[in-house]
Amino acid sequence: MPQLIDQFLLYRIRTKRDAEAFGRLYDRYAAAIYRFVFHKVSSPEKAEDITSETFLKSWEYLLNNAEVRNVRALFYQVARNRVIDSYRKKTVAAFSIDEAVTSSPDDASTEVEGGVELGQRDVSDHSRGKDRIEAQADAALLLKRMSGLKEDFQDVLTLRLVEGLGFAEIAKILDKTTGNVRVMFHRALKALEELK
Amino acid sequence: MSSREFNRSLKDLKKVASGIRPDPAWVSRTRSAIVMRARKDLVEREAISTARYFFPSALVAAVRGPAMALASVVLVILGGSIASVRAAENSLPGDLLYPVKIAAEQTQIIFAKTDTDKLSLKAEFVGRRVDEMKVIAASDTPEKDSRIKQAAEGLKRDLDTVKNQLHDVASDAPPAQVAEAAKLIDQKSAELAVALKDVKTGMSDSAKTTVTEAEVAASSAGVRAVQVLISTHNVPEVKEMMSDAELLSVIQNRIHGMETGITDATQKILDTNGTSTEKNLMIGSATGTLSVPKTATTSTKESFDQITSARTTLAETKQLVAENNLGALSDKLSEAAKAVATVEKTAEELTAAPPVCVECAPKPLESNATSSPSVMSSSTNPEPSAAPVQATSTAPPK
Repeated sequence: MPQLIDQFLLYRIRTKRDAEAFGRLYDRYAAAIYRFVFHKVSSPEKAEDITSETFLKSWEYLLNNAEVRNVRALFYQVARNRVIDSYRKKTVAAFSIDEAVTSSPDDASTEVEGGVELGQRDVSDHSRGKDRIEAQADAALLLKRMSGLKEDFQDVLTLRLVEGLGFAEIAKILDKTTGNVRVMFHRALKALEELK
Repeated sequence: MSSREFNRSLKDLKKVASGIRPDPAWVSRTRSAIVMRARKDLVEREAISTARYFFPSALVAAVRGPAMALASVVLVILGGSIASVRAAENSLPGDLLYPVKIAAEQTQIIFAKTDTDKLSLKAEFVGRRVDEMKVIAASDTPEKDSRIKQAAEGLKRDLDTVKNQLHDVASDAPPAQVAEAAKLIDQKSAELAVALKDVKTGMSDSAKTTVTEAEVAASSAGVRAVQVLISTHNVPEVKEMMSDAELLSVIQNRIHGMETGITDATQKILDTNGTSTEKNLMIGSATGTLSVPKTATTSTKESFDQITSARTTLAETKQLVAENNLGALSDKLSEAAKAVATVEKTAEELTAAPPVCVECAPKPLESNATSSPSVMSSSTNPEPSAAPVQATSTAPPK
């Protein structure tokens, strides 16, 4: 279903010259792409810059190329390449992921079409009782540890566990076979567990 | 972490990670910029395909130059977005075309080549926000306050971004470029602080509070810039660009700005306390301490504590400058800026809602600065002192 909506929006862009349709694609994926990039660069400002670039590059690609089967995968692919480019240019400054998870900006919750909610950073709403808090603290710790894994492992874990993508789609983003991605996912899990 | 805990944590990973969300204001600005760019590209495509329809390829090959010129003309005519951007250039917060102006700026930032270019552009746009506020303040529009408030909120947001990006750039870009950007930001933030003070005159209390927040953000960005200048100053290229004396002057200007901030805030707090302050307050001494009046309310007492603390921190900062201890100075500057910001915010709050003192009869304040030699924090009453902090100094440092 989500892909059907993406394809419809793509159709609107190409046949109806509807720029707003790309805006709707942006609404659907801006938060997810930002999160994906943020895990890799760990700086809100850099994540914002790379996310903007991702959408502009993707737009150029959509405009010039005939076939795009999976728009979401395209966004992730472009974002990944932009991050790699930024790694090449410089070493990214360290930034505490805890800070980003627990910080609370002026959190006016904004519901955006496609189920992407913006502006809710406070995770404490989810906690019910001590166990929940502990579990979430452990999860935050895992997120932090993930940055110690190699790039591919980080990607496969983020895309699968955080973004909830299927193996086939992840394979498309990482340019690997589905089988490869499955194996990589289990290895990444093991590596993460061993990173204690 | 046991395997069981590990598996449980994995389940929570998505929930925790979903807490990482982009700033809604940034999302909205970027969306406008991207959609505008998409619209422009689509119009261009339309124009080119129209041109191709009328001019087949053989003909185009022969008259490519003129055809391209024509296409450009068509593009400009059809490109409503270009006209919109032009028209939006002079728009102000609250105007219909203002979002177009912001989106155009955002686009410029996105297409800047390097991070330092982006930062310089942002610093430049921050200057525009202040100009907008000045224009609105000077106008007679009915929604003046709300529009200034809107501009001040945008300004604060931009200044926070500039500050954070300066931190990022400082760790990535070549030191000379970083120092150049930091110098620009220091200069801009100092200009902003002065301009924002002027804008505040005659505004409502709520709008003043928002502008004060922007002032604090400007000061904070300026302090970050000075910190960056200090940290890069050992690099030979940076030393060539900025001498020790220049750096010292930048630091002293920054400290002077904070002193002025404390002086003004102290005066405001005195004003809210009416005559009781005249009788009982002993502000300013060699150590920068305050005597709190017996009749002072809790909020007033707290504000005096804040002033004392800010002045002490500023005195320590000046001491470090005198000792040329740049390493420790960087952190102390930040501490002093925070302390001054707290005093300024409190002063603004007290001005908006003055503390009620039943024993104090309201009385005009003109005597505060002149009749009581003990009240030294007034900018009109400088008192010579051997103290490291002189909140009375109004002359700009050399």
